Amino acid sequence: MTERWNTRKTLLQRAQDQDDAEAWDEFVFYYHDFLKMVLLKMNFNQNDIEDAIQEVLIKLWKALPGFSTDGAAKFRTWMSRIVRNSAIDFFRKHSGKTTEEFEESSLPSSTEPDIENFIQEEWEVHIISLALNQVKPLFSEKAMMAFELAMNNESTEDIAVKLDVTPNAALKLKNRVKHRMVQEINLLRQKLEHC
Amino acid sequence: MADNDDIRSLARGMKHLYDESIDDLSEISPLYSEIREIDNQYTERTKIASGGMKTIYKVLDLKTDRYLAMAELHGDAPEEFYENFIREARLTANLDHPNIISIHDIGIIDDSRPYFTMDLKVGDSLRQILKKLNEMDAEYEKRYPLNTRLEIFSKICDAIDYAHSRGVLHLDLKPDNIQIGTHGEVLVCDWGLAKVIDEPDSDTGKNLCKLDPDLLNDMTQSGEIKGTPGYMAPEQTVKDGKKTFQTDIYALGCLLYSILTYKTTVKGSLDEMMEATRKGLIHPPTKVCPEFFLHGTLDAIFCKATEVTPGDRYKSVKELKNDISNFLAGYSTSVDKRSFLNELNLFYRRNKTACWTAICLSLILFIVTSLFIFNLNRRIKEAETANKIASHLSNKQISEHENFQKKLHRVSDKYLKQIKEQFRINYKANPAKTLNWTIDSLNDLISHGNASQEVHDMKLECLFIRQDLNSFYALAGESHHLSKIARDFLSTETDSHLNSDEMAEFISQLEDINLCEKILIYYSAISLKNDLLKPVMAYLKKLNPACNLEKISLDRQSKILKINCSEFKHFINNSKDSLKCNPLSILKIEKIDFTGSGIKKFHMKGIEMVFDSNP
Repeated sequence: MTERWNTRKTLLQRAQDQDDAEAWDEFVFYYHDFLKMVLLKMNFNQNDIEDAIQEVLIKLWKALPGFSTDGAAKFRTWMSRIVRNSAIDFFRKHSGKTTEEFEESSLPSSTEPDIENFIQEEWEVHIISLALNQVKPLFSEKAMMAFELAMNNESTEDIAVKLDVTPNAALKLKNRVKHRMVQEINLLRQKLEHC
Repeated sequence: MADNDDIRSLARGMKHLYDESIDDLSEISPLYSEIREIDNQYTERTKIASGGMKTIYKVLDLKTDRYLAMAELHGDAPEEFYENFIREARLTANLDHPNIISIHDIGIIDDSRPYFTMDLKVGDSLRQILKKLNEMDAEYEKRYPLNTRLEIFSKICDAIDYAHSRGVLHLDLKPDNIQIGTHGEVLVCDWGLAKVIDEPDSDTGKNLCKLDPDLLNDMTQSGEIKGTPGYMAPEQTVKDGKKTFQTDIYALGCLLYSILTYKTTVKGSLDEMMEATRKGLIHPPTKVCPEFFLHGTLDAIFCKATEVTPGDRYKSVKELKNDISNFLAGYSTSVDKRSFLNELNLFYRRNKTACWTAICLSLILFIVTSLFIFNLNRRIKEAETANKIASHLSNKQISEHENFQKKLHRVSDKYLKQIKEQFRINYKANPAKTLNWTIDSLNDLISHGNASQEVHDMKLECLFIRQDLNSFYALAGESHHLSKIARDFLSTETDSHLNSDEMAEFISQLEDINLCEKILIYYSAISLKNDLLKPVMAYLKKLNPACNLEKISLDRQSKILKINCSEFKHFINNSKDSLKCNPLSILKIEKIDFTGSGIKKFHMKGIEMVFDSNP
């Protein structure tokens, strides 16, 4: 299965070439929103957020060639450590100028593993959101509804009643969307987490 | 952004998907895993109908994922029915025809009761359709006109014909057992009374695998009366009646009857119906429903299919079906009388458009030709009328012209007479002038178109008298009686008068004495006195032909004429039309001496006569 996805160069592989402008654009496209979300959660000031994102992006980009999937190293773990460290660097560098609010942030006191877990979790949500956005236009509203309700742990029978279809049909609708979602998530992960 | 948050919160709810592998079989081959996991194939049971010993449900077949009809025996049905129930299913399952309901599965429920599944009927049964038609439902009338109903009937015939070829009799054909789909599909259902017949020499379906009558026939209930009154053949109304292909043909006839009239062939109590069926007391459709204006051929087809004696009915369903097809296509059927008129009528029905086109074209051709001929005739008539008018006019003109001519003639004649009269009166006294005037007058007449011979002759005479012989000869040519003389005396010098000698000769050659007289008168007027003697002598000789001219002499000085001839008689022309010219006055003779002539007596006024004295 993995071999199938390897036929194309992954984003990480392309990022090995640090001068690939197209790869950089794509990298920014996939990471900008994610980093913004993470940094906001880390209580970064709204005024500084874009600068912070830029700095973390660049640090991450520069670190990318150093990452390899061999061994036990997981991309998420590796990436979250880099993001955390870059964020803290930025925070320290700018601590003199930052607002009171920022100074009051509890960031420094947070323990390392906590932040890293949090970043990892955000990454997962980010990947699933991307997949959802991709899959949504492909299915009918009814199918998406069946899938979302199923993800909310509603029973097939309840879904069937809600959507006015037979349970069999509801099950089929849900499975179709779910299958596609899993496919999409796998694709994204292949692209963004492997090299 | 709100949308993005929604997505994120949604994504948060399905975090387990992040690590999910797509190797899960149910995800990659959902159908395969679905079917593998099915333990209860038929779900969503809904009761459709119930009757007799069985109930029909609508079920969802999870394996094929489609809705089917499932027939089940009632829970309390005695076990001896099981065999019959399965027999019907087996028999039907073995009939593979688009117009026969398909059996999909036969099985046992709860390890005891049998069931079978079949096509789920959609649309209406024929009975419902006929009922709606009988209630004059506008939508059904539009959907099922007579031709459509006959096509449905034709498909039923196809199904039964096929079943017969497999040696299967339906034996319970009726509108309830015919299902009509929304797209015109026709299904013959309920083969519960069907019977397999074993006819070794049946020629239908020789090559088809026959069904096994021993296994598929109803063993327990043979001999009983079964069927639906109104569609049962007479042989079904009696016990142990022999069922044949004709039994189904009878039922098809009854079906046709219902399709045509929306009614059943017989009515009343069960016994009455049976009785009527046995005796064949059925009115043909046209009598029952005259308001439908059904074709007589359909009556005849119905009657042939429902003869009381099976042998009189159609030999096979195919024959019946062919008759219906032929009727629909407008060809003659086996029940039609073969006649030229009938065939012509059918030909018209088949080719209405072509016939009407031909008729219209012929009519147009006829009208155009008629118009053409009519116009031609009119033109001819017009031409004739014009001719008539023209001829009438010309006749009138001719008659007018003739009248005019007559008048002209009359006037001319009158004028001519006057000319003659004037001539007669004036000529002696003034010959030259009169002659000229006469010629002018005659020329007048000629120039006015009156060219009668008389006028011409007179003019010629005048020219002759005037000695204008050139003109005369030019005008008269050779044919005139005077032409010869005129030619002889034609002078070389034009317009000169004859001299004395010539004149004497001229006169002597003429026969007409009157003409001689006129010439002499004219000549005397234009000549000298001396020259007149010889012409006068010639004249006198003419008057007295018997007299010798030498015996007449004239003494010019004494003016005494000496006549010494006894035969001398006349001085003056005495013939008719004579001008009474006295030649003696021309010569101014005063005395005539008759001495020696023998003439003793002669009298003439103003002239002295000398006779012989008596001897």
